[in-house]
Amino acid sequence: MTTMRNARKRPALLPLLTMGALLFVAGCSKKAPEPEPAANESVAITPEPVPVENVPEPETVQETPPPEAKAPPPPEISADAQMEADAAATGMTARIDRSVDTAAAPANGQNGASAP
Amino acid sequence: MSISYRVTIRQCWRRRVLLLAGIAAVSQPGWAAPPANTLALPATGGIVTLSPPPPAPPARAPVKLSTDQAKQLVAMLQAARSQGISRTIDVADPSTDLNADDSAKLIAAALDYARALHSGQLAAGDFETEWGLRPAAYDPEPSFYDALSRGKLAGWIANLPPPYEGYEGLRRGLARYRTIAAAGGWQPLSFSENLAFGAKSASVAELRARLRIEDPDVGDSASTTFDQPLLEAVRRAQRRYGLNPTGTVASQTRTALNVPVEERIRQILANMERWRWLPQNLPRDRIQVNIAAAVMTVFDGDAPVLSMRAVTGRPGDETPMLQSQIHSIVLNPPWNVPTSIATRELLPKERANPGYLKRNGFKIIKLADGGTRLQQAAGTQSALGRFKFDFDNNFSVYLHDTPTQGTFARYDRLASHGCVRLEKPAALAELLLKDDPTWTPEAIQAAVSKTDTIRVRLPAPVSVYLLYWTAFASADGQMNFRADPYGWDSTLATKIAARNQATRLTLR
Repeated sequence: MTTMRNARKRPALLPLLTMGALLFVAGCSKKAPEPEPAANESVAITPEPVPVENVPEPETVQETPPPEAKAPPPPEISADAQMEADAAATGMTARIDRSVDTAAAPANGQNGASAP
Repeated sequence: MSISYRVTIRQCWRRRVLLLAGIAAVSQPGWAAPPANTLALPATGGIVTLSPPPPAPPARAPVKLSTDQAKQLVAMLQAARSQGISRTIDVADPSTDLNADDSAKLIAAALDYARALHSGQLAAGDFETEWGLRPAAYDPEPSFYDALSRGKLAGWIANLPPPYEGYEGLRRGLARYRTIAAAGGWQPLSFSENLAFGAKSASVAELRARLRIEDPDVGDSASTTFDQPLLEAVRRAQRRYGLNPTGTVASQTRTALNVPVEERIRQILANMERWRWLPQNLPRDRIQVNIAAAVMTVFDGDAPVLSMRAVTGRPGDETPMLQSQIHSIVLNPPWNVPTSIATRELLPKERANPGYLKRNGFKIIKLADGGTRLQQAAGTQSALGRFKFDFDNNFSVYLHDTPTQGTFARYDRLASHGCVRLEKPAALAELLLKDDPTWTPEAIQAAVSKTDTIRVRLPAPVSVYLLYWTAFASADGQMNFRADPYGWDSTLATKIAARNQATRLTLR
C-alpha cells in the first residue's frame, strides 16, 4: 500500500516502466494476477531481497562418495561356510567330552564320604 | 492312584492347548525339581494319565562331608553365576570337616543347584503353552551319592551342564559380555544418517569404535573415512544380527548396534536356560529349526549335512518349541483349512471377490462327523506346496513346501501361521528317503509332477526339534543375536527371576 501511495505521487514515471513491470509480474509470478493498475497509476519495481548467507553448518557433514567409490560386493560365502553358519544358528550340538573330568579324583584320596 | 489331566486340543492348524486342570497340581514352589510325574505333553490330545510317583527311597544315613568335599561343593556353588544360574548362594569356604547338620545344608544347596544347572530353573507350571520342549525329570541324588562314595565328585560336577558346544559357546559369551558391561558397555550411536562405503565424517570414527567393542578384528584406526576394512566389519556385524549384509549402516543396523549390552546378556542367559531343556543325549541324526532365525539344519551323525532357509510363525501365530519325530512325507498334500483361517482370511476374500475360492482350488468337503471343511486341492496352488513332513504334535504344525517362494529372499522370515515352510523341501525329502530304494530322487520328482496325494512312510522316524535361539556363538566364538520376535526371552527372564532369590548359607 505504501508503495502504491508513493507511486501516485509520481505520475510522471515512464509508461514503459509500467508496462515492463506488468509483464514481469504476469510472467514470473504464479500467484493470482494482481488487479491491473489504473491508467494513471504506475507500479514501482521492488527488487527481490538478496538472502544473506547465514546458515549454520550441520554438525556432521557426510560427503557424498565420489562415483568411483562404489562398495565392492560381499565375498561369496561357500556352501560349507553357509551350512556351518546355519548349524550354529540352529544350535551347535557337538558333544563336549568331559570324560577326563569324570575320571578325576582328588589326589589326597579323601573324597569318600565319611562315616556317619 | 493316578492323576489325570484333561487336555483339550482345538482343531486348527496350530496349537491351542488348554490345560484345563492339573497344571497347578504339578507346579511347584521354589526351586524344586520337577517330580517323577512331571507334566509332559502327550503326543496326541486326550486324557493324560500320569503314573503315580515311585515310593520314596529309604532315608539316607546322615553324611558328613570332608573338608575337601565341602570345598568342591562350595566352589561349585560359587561358580553358579558363570554358568548363568541366576540364584546365587553366598557361602564361605570351609576350613574344617563339616558336621552332619552343615553337611546336610550344603548338600541340599548343591542338589538344588544341580537340578537348576542340569534341567533348568523353572518349575513345570512356569512353562508357556508354546514352550512344548521341556526338560525330562532329573533327580540328582543317586548320582551325587554315588560320586561321593566313589571319590568322583569332580566328575559329577563337571557333567551337570548341557554337554553341547552351543551351551559352552554361550557360557564363554556370557563371560565376555559381562566384561564388556563392566568396562562401560557402549552408548547409543549419536548419528542418525545412513553411512555407506566412501563416506567421510566424524560418525564413521564413532561407528568403528562401536563395532570394535564386539568385534576384535576391527582396527583401532581413528580415520573418519568409511574404508574397505570398515565395510567388511559392518557386513560381519550385520550377519551377526541376522541382517542383510549390505555394508550400509541404516536404521536396522543402528537399532541392532544400539541394543544395550545388558540386554545382550539377558538374551544369553535366556538361551542358556533353553539349552538345559534339551535332552543330554540328543539323537545324532536329527533336524533342527531355529524359529527366531528361520533356518533349518539336518544333522547326520551330529554333522550338518543340509541346511536351508525357512519361514516360521509371525508374532501372534508363534511356531511352538517342541520335539517330535517325522514319520512320513506327504507328496502333493491337500490343505485342510483351519476354521479360523477360513473365517478370518478366506471367506472375506470370497465375499469381496466372488469366485476366489474356486479359482484357487478350494472346495467344501464333508467330514465323517457331519461337519464340513474347506480344503484346497493338491497342486501348484496348494498352500502346502508339493511336500509335507508329518510329525505328531499337539499344535498341528509341520514342515512343508510353499508356492510363496519370494519370502525366502527376505532376511525377516517370520511370516507363517505357525508351520515351518522350507526353501528346499525336495532336497530334504531325498535325504530322508535315501535309504528307501523305491523312492529315488527321480521317483520323488515323478510323483510330485502329478497331483495324486501319496503318503510315504520313512524307513525310520527322524527326530525333529523346533528351537528358539536368539543368541548363539558361531564357530569363531563370536556371539550372534537375533531379535526376540515372540518376546519369549523377556518372559523367561521374568519367570526365572521370580523363582530365584539370593540366599546365604552359613556353615559353622
